[in-house]
Formats: sequence, structure tokens, C-alpha cells
Amino acid sequence: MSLEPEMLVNILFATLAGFLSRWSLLKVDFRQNPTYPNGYLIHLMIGLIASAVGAISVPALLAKDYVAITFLFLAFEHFRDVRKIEASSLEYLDKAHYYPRGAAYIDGIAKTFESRNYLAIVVSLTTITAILATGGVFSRTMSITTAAFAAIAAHILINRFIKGQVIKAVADIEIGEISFRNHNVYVNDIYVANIGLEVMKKRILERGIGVLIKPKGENEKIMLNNIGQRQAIEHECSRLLGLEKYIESRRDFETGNIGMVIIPIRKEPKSLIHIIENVPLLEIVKKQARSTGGNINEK
Amino acid sequence: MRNNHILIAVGLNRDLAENVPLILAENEEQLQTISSELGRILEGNVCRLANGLVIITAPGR
Repeated sequence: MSLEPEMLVNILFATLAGFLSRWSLLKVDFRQNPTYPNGYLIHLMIGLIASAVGAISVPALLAKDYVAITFLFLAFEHFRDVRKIEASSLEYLDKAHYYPRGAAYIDGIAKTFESRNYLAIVVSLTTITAILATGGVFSRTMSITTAAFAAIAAHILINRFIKGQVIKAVADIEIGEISFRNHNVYVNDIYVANIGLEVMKKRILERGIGVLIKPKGENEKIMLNNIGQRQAIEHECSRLLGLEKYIESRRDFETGNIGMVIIPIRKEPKSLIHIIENVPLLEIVKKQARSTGGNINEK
Repeated sequence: MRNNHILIAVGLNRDLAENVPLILAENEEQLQTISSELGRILEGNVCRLANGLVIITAPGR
């Protein structure tokens, strides 16, 4: 079956819409994931394929080309592999970090990458459906314009649905005062660790930074009490500021506040607060709060 | 959960540790040096108790 030039333009336009949607979510920020440029290119290309799958599916269905549709659905299977590939890659690299990401954080990152490919599929599918549905009613220009608005609406809606939160949504972060009582190190009044060596005590007092993470409510306390979430925070701090020697955190049973001590290579308290504030809130902790009637992420 | 095991103790007084390998130091300076060396060799955490006894701990395997 030959493809009409008009249909080819429709498919290309829908593919472009899905691709742009995926591209807009592919940020190279301070977390440096995906890595740049190779990791970035890999995800961009997978996003392009996902968009093409979404764009071709409706014309194939209209042409009653069921074999093509079957193959397109087989392509969906590969997007599930994206999660596995991303997870296994991050798990493998985790051994190279001084302080590992941990399984919970890796799972969250891998799921995000998978879901964003589905976003590209839905946006391109919406675009092509809008073009074809309005084709017989509106003029060509009007039809394309309507499809563009539909694509933007689909992007905004799905992005709002899958958008993750960060630590600053559930906790206030501030610098705490490091002190020693006998051989125990405290951040304000929170016991953090026992330090046996005098040289280490001196190093912590000279170069360490104490941080206080204060949950905003009861459910937020549960969220921050998750080992995976705390590991994610400690990982980002140690990876971005560098770890000279030591990082440890402990929760205060009375208040639920978390005290953390780190001896970073770059001693920048403001950067440290910024890093902690922007650590993603893991999906597993959000689920915990919702199942107990929490109002987090509810609007 | 992380469970730490006591690998060895370092102290100034023989009576402070039982059923744990103990290295006796002659004075505070030597105690600090030995503890630091042991911490590095055994890749463990160096902790000090209120009675002055130093213990080297490591995650249980």
C-alpha cells in the first residue's frame, strides 16, 4: 500500500510532537542522569521511536493493516525493557560510587524513564487522532493547529500526572550546629554517630556540615523515615559535593527530625541545602503516605 | 537493617573487655594511634564508649 504525501506529513507531524514532548522532559541537570552526551542521545532516540509508534498506529488501524498493528504493539514490549536496562545499568554503576544510590532510588529513576516513553506515545497518538478526526471538518491548516493544541494539552495533563515531587515539598532544610558530647556527635540535639578517634572529631568540627531535615507533618515523617529515601539524600549529597570522609544521618524519635553530618570535599552549606531540597521523593514513600490517608500529592 | 559486629577492642584497662579480643595500650596517645590503624586495616568504624574503651565495628556479613 502506498502512503499518500498528506498522510506522511500527518505521521511526521505527530512523531515530531511526541519527540518534542519527550525532549522537553529530558533534562541534564545537576543530578547528571542521564549522562551526557551518550545517555542523553540514547533516551532521545528511544523517545523518537516511541513517538513514531504512536503516530503510525492510527493510520495503520484505519488501513486495516492488522499485521502492522501487531508489530507496533510488540514494540511496546521494548519500552518495558528500557526500565530494566536503566535499572541494571545504574545498579552496575552503583558499585563505583562512594555512597550507593540504593535499590529504591534506582527503581524510581528506571520507572521514570519508562513512563516518559509512554508519554511520547500518547502525545503522538493524540496528535494523529486529532489531525485525522478534524481533517474532514476543518481546513488543513486549522486541522494541524487543532492537533498541535491537542498535543500540548496531552503533554501538560500527563506530565502533571507523572510529575514527581522533591524533598522541599515535605520538609524544611536548615543548617544545624555540630557538637560533641563525650564521643558522640550531635546536630543540634540529634544524636548522629559515635566517633572514637580524636583526629576524626577535630576533622568533623573543622570541615563537617550539619544539616537538619524537618518534616512538615506526620505523614512526611513516615516518608523521611524510609531507608531508601534517606539513602537517596545521602547519595546525592556525597556525589555532588564530594565525600572527603564521612556521611551519616539519624532520626530523632521525639520530633521525627533528621540530623545529618557530612564532611564534603566542597564545603558549601548553601549548595548542600539546595541539593537536599531537590532530591526526588521516591515513589515508594508517596505510596506509603497515600495508603495511610495522607494528603501528599493530592489536589 | 545494618547490624554491626564488634571486631576488636582497644583499651587502657584489661578488666573492661571480656569475650572480645582486646589490645592494651600504654597511654591515651598510643590508644588513639592503635585505634586509627586498626580502623583502617579492618575497614571498620572506630567508636568510643563512655568508660573509655574503643571498639572497632564493621557491618555483619
